[in-house]
Amino acid sequence: MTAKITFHPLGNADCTRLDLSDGQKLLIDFADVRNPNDPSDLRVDLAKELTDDLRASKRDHYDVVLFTHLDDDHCHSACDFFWLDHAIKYQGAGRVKIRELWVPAAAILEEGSKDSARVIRQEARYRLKKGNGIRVFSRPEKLKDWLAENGLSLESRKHLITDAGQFVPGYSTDRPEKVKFFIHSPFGWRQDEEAIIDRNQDSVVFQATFMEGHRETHAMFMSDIDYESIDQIVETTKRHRNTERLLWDVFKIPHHCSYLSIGPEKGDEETKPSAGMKWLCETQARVRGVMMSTSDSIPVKGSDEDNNPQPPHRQAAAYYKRVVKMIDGTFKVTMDLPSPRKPKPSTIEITSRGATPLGGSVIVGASNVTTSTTRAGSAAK
Amino acid sequence: MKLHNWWNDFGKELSDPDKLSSDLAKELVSQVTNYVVPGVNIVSLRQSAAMGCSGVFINIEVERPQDLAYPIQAVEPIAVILPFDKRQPSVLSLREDFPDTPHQNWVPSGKPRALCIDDRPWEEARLTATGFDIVRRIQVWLSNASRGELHDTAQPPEPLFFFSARTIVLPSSAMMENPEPVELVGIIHEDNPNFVFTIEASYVGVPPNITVVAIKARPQDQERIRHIPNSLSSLASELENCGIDLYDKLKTVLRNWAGIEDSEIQRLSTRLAIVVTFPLATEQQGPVNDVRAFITDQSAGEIGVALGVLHTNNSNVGDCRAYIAAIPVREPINQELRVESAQVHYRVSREIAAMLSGRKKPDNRRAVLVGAGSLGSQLSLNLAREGALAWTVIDCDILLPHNTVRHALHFDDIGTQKANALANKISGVLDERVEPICCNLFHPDSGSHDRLEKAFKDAEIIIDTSASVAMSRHLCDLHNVHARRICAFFNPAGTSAVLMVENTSRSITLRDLEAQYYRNLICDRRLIHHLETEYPGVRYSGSCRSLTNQIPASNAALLSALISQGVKRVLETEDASISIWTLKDNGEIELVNFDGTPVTIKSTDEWKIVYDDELVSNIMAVRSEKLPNETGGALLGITDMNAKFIHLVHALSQPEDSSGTRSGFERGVFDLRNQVTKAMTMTMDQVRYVGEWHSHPEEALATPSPTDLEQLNWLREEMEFEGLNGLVAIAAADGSFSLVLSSDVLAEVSQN
Repeated sequence: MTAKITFHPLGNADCTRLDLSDGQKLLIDFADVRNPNDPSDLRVDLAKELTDDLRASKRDHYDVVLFTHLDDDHCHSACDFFWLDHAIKYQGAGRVKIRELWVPAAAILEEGSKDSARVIRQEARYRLKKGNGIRVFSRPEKLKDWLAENGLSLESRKHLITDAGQFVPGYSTDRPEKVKFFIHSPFGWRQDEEAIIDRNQDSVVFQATFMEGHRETHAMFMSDIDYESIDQIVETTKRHRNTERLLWDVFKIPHHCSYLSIGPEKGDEETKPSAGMKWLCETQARVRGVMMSTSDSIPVKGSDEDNNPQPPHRQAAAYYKRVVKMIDGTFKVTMDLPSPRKPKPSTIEITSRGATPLGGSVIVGASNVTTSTTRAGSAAK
Repeated sequence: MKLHNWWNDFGKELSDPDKLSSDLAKELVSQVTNYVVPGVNIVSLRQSAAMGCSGVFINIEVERPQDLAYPIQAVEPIAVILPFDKRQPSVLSLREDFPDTPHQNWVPSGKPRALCIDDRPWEEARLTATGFDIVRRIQVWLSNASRGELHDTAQPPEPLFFFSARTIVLPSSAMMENPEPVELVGIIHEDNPNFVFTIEASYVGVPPNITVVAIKARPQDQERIRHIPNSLSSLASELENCGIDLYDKLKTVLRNWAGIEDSEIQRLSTRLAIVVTFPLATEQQGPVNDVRAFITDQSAGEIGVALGVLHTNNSNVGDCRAYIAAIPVREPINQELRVESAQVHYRVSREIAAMLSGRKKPDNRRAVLVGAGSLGSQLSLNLAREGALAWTVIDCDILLPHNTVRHALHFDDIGTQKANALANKISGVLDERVEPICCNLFHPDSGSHDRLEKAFKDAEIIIDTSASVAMSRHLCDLHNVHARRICAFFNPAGTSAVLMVENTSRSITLRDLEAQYYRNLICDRRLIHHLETEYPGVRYSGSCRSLTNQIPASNAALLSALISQGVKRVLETEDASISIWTLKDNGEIELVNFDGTPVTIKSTDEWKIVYDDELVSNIMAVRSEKLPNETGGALLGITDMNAKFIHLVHALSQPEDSSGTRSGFERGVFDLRNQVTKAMTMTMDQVRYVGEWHSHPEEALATPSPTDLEQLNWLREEMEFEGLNGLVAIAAADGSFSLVLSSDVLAEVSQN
């Protein structure tokens, strides 16, 4: 089985599923934002899509669920969907279990969060106290005080914490899962002595490297970070001579195609990238790579949406489109796939020839493409 | 990217899709503009009344990997050219620099490249052809091209050259290693001027008109040539790449042929056929040859003069038609020497022995045989040798050398029309006139029309041995023809023979039996391997469809004999039946018989939906087993997009993660796709998912509930891509059974 990355059309919200070669399923974010009472809401019924997929493979759990950060557009309704260990209220038939929960340190440390963000925080805290089923992304020292308050030593929990610049333990391209994850963020630069936790900056940014045949395919998951954080990641990565860890064949565009992830000025027609972002997009891209915007459709110039300060931004999209043109690649928007009239989850297959975005063929499913005949002798006509 | 000029020269631009004369074109445009087909958009429409074709220019997004096997673009401009008269559409790349890939159709130079998106004969393909299907095949083709997966490893390599209109038959000795070129004599068959049959030159008594020079090229890399050489000079430069100096070779040969003897005069007055074996290197299958013959327009002597090695006999000595060697050799005359290419077939040297002995049983009923192939020829001759039936034979093919391995016709019929030759043979056995009709039944020429009509009208029995699903259905549907239809064929592996016969009243037709046959393949454990094929076919020439099956003559003969006996037996009864004989590895023959089961036909404005008693009783049995709860599952069936038939074939049981209660049923998904795929594989994709069935509890009617209508809407959306309507079948108490078909207007089929 080849690995697959499946993006869900959720407007400006995220949920990406990784199906690994060995059958493991990983979920990156979960935001079930569709309004079931609005028939014109084209966003996918996420809980149903994911449940159907799990049922078809006879599973009741994800091996990993990663919340890159706890903004509502990344965890909306998660408390209604998952089985959570910390309270009986979140346990019951039909809830989907999480073998290992992955969160940034902010998700543990932050106070005053609400709704699903609070519930996920409680679950993460519960699991960290218990000492299993959890991975926290952070500089270990950052968690020292919180652990002490809860009567735990840093030493006893160190194996559950992964710092930026490290691979997530337990994954290798040489083993059946054929994938490894390199963590870029959260990183120390930003997290020292912050009075207020800016959640987007404490997002988990990582590179997944898949191996199929002899071909490595890299996917950059950029969460919701802004250009300044990107510049810092680029600078740090270059300093550590780790530039191959920023190569990409698949690029999950940051923050629903916001210009602020590219540069400080939106621009009239095209956002001008910061130095780090420019290098990341233009130098680190591999030929025919795919850029995926998990967002609403890109607004038409002069439309109401175009004047809306919220992403996606036409000028940001224009920059990404220019990037993919340089590499003969593709720029896609989740809400436009396969058609804006009826968006459906879209999949990128990781093959021995690299990333292949699947279009029509996946929708059709079981229909026939046979080109031979059932009766002997009828070939020549 | 530069677009091919051809498009702008094709007919006139149309702005209104309703003006398109091809219905398929209209459907394609509407499906694309309504986003039914993702990843495609319409660029422009044109139509040429002179060519009788509509043209749809679409941009197609390609699912392609990053590392390309061929330079396929993310978006490819494609023209789909659809003839008004529903003939096969062509698919052209409008990109001027579209790469040279496998699986393209031959095009004259200067025309856009034509993609071969479907190997099946069009008559088969069009049964499922929709605008969506065509676009999807193009997408799959382009995607496979980009991944380097167009070249199925089960197939031999692509030939070096495109298709040749002519055919030449050679003895295998022509290709042996010889120090000197082999000389043969060619005979153009009276029936077919494009068909050249050759024998060794030493064989006397046949006036030569073509002399063959055989050349073996060095193996070379699989770099295909777009167009076949059409002049001696282009052939020479082609051969130069293969390490052969053609001019030098010809000069030597022609000089040696010079002379004033009658044989020399005669030989130099013939045309040259330069036969070249191009060995193709393949990783999987070892060396394979692409053999082509290049026949010159000029005579050997004229070519010798042009090459400067001969001159005409101007002396007073000997015949003035003779050629004399030029001494010294002159400069070649600068003159274009045209050659015409021909596909080479080798003569089959094996004999075919008839293995049947007759058993007399007079039967004067009139029969029409459709398909004079291996089975048809053997079946009809077997029966004729037993004095059975008064025959009319219909076929549109000519007999090729490879046919004779399993055919009842022989070596000396090669190049003749099968129908003529077979009618002759039967006629010889029966000593009565047997009428041959050489025509394509799908497109009969005007000359055959009346004869066909009379033959079918007079017939009491029609025997279909065409090995074509499309033909069986076509024959089944013939209007005002009352003959009982029989259909016989071999499975692709050549290990089973199938005989289907209608009942005399024709209330159970070949279409119905076809559906019942597929259900038996899915359900009967004895038939699980029936449609499996272990070996790919064998190419007998260099075009996509020149595939013949690898079936031992003994299997074909044995199965033909079994069918012959079966036909005799069923002609003694009035009932519908299906018989399947399977040859076992240990030499045993297993016969599985099924009675044809009565069918019910429900019609809407557009569709005819057919199901049979056994399907209903199977469903009722599953329903009873699960009572008091509801149950259900997926429905499989045959859809004929052309004739608008849906035959329900089989109802799958509920997937294990389904939940059925007294008041409702939710079908699960676990293993469902696998089961559907398995059924499709077992029937070689003849059967597909067509909808859902479920049961209602004891007290409820079989009429659809609001939940059922919701399911129907869902189905309609899911199946819209396939140009199909979703079906929901509901089974209730006392055998009551209803069908609901979704289309734009919900049409309920009346209850039993």
